[in-house]
Amino acid sequence: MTPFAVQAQTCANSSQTPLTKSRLDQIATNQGIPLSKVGVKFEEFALTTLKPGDPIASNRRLFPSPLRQIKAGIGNVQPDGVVPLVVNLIPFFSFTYADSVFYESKAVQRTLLPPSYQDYQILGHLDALSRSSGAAADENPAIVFLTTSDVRTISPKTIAEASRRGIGVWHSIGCEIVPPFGNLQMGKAELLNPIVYTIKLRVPTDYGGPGNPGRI
Amino acid sequence: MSIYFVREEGIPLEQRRGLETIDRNLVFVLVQASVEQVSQAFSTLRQMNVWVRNAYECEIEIQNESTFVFQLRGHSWSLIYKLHRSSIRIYLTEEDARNLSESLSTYVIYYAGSDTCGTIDYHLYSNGILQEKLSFEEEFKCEFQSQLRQLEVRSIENAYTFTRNFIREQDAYIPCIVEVEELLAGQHTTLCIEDLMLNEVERMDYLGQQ
Repeated sequence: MTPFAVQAQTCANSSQTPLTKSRLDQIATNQGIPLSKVGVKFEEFALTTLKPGDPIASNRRLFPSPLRQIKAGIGNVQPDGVVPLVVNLIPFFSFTYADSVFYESKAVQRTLLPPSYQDYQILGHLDALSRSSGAAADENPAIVFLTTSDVRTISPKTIAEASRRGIGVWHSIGCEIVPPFGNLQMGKAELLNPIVYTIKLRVPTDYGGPGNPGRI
Repeated sequence: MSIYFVREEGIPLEQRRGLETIDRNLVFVLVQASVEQVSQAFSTLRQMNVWVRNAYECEIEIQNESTFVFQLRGHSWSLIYKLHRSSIRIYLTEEDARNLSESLSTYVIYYAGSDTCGTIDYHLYSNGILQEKLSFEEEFKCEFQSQLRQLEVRSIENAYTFTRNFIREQDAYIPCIVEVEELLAGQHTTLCIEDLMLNEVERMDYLGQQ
């Protein structure tokens, strides 16, 4: 694989359909959820189901980002989920680095999530991760995008920026299990820039998926 | 209570205006009226048959359709916030805002920002009549209409900044509330938002349906 090659989007199995934003809106409407709440419902679903038995809690902290301050006048970012980076050295022995893996959900259409997206929120995430304890220890922090399938891949600019900072970029998409209609499952989180790990002779960690099936 | 009031350090809460964040999914209705008036009107509008006045830091029983109506100290707007991590079938809509504006003969703002969907929407009503509206979806659409000012939508360079400025110009503030865990109907708890001090709250009422 070349450093910035694009992984195919992955559903848990071939009978599933990649979930587009318009289909998500349709499912929400059928369940009596207004469009103004589709975002929070998708985010909750993605975070709670991605890692079966190990739901990711909603983040309630701000992370400083001087770069976003310069670009957009916003001095922080709030990822949707934040977990520690766990680096396994040998069986039964690992190092843990706090706040070094961010999860960000996006139910969007027609975007690849470039660094400038949402007033430089994506750049802010990368900036904050590059200041994390994992980065300080010369390990690889990571950002995991949980998206609808409209995000065919993550912007090459975002991947390049992340790679420059030694940050792994992972991508999981939502899929629909049919029948019954409206049952969803997050696909496996795929690594988009393996170079950040291979260059240091590291084995990338698994960041979740396929998730538990469920409904928004 | 596993609900958090997230804010950047620095400016005291009573002086904060505009948007606290664009990085979360938030829906609020802001009403230029007292908490008492707003709670009364919203209870009537949405058939809320449980109303606990001055409930902040008091023991309450969680009901269906949990709703906070509150005013921050130093602020003139009352805010309506519906908990989404609890049993709900009723969602805040722009129609609620219009109805409240009409019934209370006042200004009402409907605000819905979604970091997940890359959208931001606001509607300003006065006496039930739409005064201004912005509907933005990043890299997809930006619609704007106003009775208050002559402005072409193409002159809006950054919808986030534009909305932030609009909210600030109304002397209003959209806080950031994060719900971490689900609240179950029947559960007894102290109504309290973490990191929001009692002395920062002018009044908070709790509404629900039994």
